Amino acid sequence: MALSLRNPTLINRDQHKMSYYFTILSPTDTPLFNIAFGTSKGGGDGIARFRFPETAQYMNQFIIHSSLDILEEAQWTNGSMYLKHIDTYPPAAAYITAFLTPSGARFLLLHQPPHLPSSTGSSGLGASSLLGSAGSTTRASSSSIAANPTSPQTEEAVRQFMNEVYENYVKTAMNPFYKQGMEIKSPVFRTRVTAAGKKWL
Amino acid sequence: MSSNKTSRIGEETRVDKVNAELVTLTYGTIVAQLCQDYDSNYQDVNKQLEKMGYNIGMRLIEDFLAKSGVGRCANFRDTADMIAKVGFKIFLNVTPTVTNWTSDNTQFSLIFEENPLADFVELPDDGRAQDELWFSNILCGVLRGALEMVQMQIEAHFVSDVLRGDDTTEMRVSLVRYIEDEMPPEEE
Amino acid sequence: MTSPGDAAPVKPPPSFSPGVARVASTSPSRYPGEQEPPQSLDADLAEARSVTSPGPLSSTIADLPLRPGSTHSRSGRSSTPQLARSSVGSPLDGRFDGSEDIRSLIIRSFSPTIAVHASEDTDDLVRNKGFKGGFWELIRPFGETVPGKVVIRDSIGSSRAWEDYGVRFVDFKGIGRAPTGRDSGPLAQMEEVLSKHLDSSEGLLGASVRTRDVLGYPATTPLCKLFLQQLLCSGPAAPHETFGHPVANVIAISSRNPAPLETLRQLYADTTTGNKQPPEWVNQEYLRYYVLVHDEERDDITESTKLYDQMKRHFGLHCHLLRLRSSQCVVTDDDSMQVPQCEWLSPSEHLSGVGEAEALVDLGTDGTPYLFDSDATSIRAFIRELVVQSVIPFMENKVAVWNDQVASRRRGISGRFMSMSRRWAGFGSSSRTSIAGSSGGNSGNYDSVQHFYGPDSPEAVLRKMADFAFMLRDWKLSTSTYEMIRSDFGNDKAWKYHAGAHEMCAVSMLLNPLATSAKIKLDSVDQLFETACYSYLTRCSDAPHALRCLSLAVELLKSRGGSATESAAKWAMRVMDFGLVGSVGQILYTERVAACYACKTPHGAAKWGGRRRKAGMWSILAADQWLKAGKPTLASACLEEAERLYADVLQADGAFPMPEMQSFVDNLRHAVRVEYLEARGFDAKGPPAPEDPVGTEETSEKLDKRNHRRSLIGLPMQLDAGTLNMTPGPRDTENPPSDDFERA
Repeated sequence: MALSLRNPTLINRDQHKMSYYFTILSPTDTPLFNIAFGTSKGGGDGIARFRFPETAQYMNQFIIHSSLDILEEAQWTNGSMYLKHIDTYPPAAAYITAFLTPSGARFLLLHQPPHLPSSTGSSGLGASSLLGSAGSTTRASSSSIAANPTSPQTEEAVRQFMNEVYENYVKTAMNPFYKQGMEIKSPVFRTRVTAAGKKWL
Repeated sequence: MSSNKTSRIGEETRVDKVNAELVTLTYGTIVAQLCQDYDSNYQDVNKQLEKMGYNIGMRLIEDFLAKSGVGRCANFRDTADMIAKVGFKIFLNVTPTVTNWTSDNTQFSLIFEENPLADFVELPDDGRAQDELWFSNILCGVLRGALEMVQMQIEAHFVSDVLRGDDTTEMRVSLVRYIEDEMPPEEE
Repeated sequence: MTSPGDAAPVKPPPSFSPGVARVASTSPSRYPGEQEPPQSLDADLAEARSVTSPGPLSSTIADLPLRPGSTHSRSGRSSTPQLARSSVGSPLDGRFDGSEDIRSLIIRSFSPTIAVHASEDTDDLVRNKGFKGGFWELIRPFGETVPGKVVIRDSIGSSRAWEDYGVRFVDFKGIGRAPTGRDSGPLAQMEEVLSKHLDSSEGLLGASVRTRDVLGYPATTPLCKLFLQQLLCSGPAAPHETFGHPVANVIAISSRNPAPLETLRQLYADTTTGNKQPPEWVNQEYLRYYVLVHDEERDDITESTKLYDQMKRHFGLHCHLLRLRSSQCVVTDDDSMQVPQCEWLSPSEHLSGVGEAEALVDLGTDGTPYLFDSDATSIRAFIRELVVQSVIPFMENKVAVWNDQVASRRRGISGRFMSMSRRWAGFGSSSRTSIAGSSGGNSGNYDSVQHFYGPDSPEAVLRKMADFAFMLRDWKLSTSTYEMIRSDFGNDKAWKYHAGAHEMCAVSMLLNPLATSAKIKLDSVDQLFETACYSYLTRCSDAPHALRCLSLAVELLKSRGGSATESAAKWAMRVMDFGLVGSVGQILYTERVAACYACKTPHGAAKWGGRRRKAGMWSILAADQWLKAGKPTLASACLEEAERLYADVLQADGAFPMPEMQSFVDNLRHAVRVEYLEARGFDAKGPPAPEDPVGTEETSEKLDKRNHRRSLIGLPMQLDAGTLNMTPGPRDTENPPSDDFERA
């Protein structure tokens, strides 16, 4: 399956618009920070549109939580802080990218491409390109490189995002009024994460 | 003493290096602990910080005089300059601006462009800290304690703080009176 | 081929040359234990070997406390060489419900098919005994488990004994013909069976809905097993695989027959000519086995023996004298025994009520499946002799002959050259996938109009040989044979054959116990399944086979453990993604994903490498879906499972770190409990007793504040016991009863 070599700008912009759910977890899995946002680049409005209905937003948390299994494994086999794409939840095409701070806090970014309205027909076969990197070699992905959650470009953009969040996370952790392991309520931090998201994703 | 000379002393005085983040964290932790101990009664926390500062100031003045080797100030304006350009410079490596003098030269403001004590700090978002807590109130106490040892009774308080969302961090200092020599310092 | 018309007493099929030891005793062996010396010696030795050196797993099992019910079954499960480690699961051992069981189920589903062609008088005799379907129906359930060990020799001559060998008897007239009378496809029928099963069992299953094997791994639910069984026996015989094709044909007459030899000849003729013969893609070279059913009550045994001797002279050694009583047995008879239930009923049989005669037991005697003990013993002995002395040697021999005559030629230089030239012929362009390749590239053996190979073409023979090897459980040989032919089918654009060979190649690889240690390349297995699935589904639109292929992938990869379980989970998700299953199937596959992940257990002191959170999540999702499907009992079982899975990864209080997860799970628990009680006739809105903890005000009020409730553990059991007193269930005994639920 050859990757598309077309100029990304020629590709329908809607395909770029990912939805993101970013979570920071303490080393003991307590969530410290959550934020949902969407693609801002290329004309995106920065609003997340997950595939789950409004009533099922818990799915983001379930998926992120379940990826900790993989993360725990990856952190032993991978020495770097940025662990890249570690997990996929195929039914919802949710990709998880992880970043591990030296103190053990976990930054997890769930990204989900938008539902492509039946370009491959309404049969069950259409969704098969969602099966992640392994095994799905027979079917071409309809997404462009930029919208491909596992492409090197995406990995790099997420790395920048993670690094910027990490810098701000350190500052936040230095706030004497912030108790380690507690939820980060700082609006300043939220603003900065949002800005980082706008800047890189 | 000319203003230029004062600045030079501030630049030249050698200080032992202490990691700024350590100081910042230490102070921040103290404040956070006080807030917790006083159950977020920020009036009390302010008072306590001021008292701690007073005790520090009474001791710090000796060190200050020894290190800087400065002599007696001619007037309160001189004192203000000394505080801003030598005292803060030596101990916090910042130089607040002295401004807003009253016409009788007994009250002035220190405007802090930066405040190492408040680095990284965000006040608790409990809806009151923003209005009640003066995070750096220890500085007021330090000035009061130090100046008292050199026969000046002053009153100092913050009037604004960027931590609260204000545009500037401003401390108002007022000279109450010069103390006669025979007066022993009151025990706090 | 020998026909009964030839009077000379020669061995029937020319290709069959049985070993001397095996034909030493020609008289019907009455006792299942009776085996020829070399084989039983083998088996005994093997047993001794495996006792002295049990695998690491079995020693672990032995140390663990067993549930009372399973002690018996374990002791009854004697080990056989090599299999003690990996693949023996006796079929009698249904309670032992782990992945071994599923492996055994899969292996047994690919049993040799034996057609049964009985004379009218035989069927009449048997009908009088209460079996409406005649002789075939009578012996069918007994064939599913051949009593005693069955020793099979593989292609390199080493023997292995199997406890769980079986054969599948089919009605001769039904071979290759799709079951009539129903217009829904097999998948829809399966879904219907599942729903029916659910409706009849929901509320009755209670806490026993899910068992766990001794290691505490999540077991296969009975429902899931049913599903798999249905799937594996749903399809009629097809040209592209020979599993449904007869390996042997049992031709039966009774002692009542006035013209026995003439009838036998006629029955034989039916198998080669006329409208009863199997479809033309079925290889006619199968074993003929002649049975004389002697009526113990009405006919003279000396007469029958005389006739039997005559039969042996005519047809050779593949004969049997089966002595049955002709009167019907009823429950009240002294030596009555219930006929075992058929394990392998196709969906349509399930739906038409076959095997449900049990329900009629109380209503009357008509149609109740009871047999005299003596009859059952005779039938078992007959089947054992049929399988051990005729069918297995026949198949071993066939494999050896084909391997020698067809496969080795194909493997040799010329064969490779043939295949190469076929591949490169055509237009001289390099692409064998191009359209051009097909014109010059195919062998010409494939009938692309009717979509099958002639049964004598090398392709069909090799496929049959691979299937024989597979059914003889010689997976090494079957793997290499499928491997050899799989691309040929692609060249011929015989896509179903192509899919089938890829599918069975992967399955053989996974079943081969010798490849367990060697790191079989999971990638290549995945690739084989991928190709098979693509050919089935996209090229042939054959959803039932695609589903079978993926389900086999899921179960076998799961049973491999380790990183294969993740592939298994992936395939299970693929099944759901493709929409191959109906709504109940979707939930079952959600459970399956959970089970796959649960199999991947953490290792090392750091406890990483597990997939507990993933397994837990999928269990929760399954619970949610069961609830939506109106099955609170099953939902509750899934919740309990989820709780168990999450226990290791959550904080000690069992609270989920993430608030939205927590509230979702809390709400789910609450809803499941309410529905469960409502389904049981308790009014959940108004608690019947003041101490009843299910009061809705209390629960809803506390719902948000509580971190966690261990709600449903043990609940069904207590309700079954007829009390609402919420004492902790057995699983809770290690925890003090300190849950919120208690205090509520």
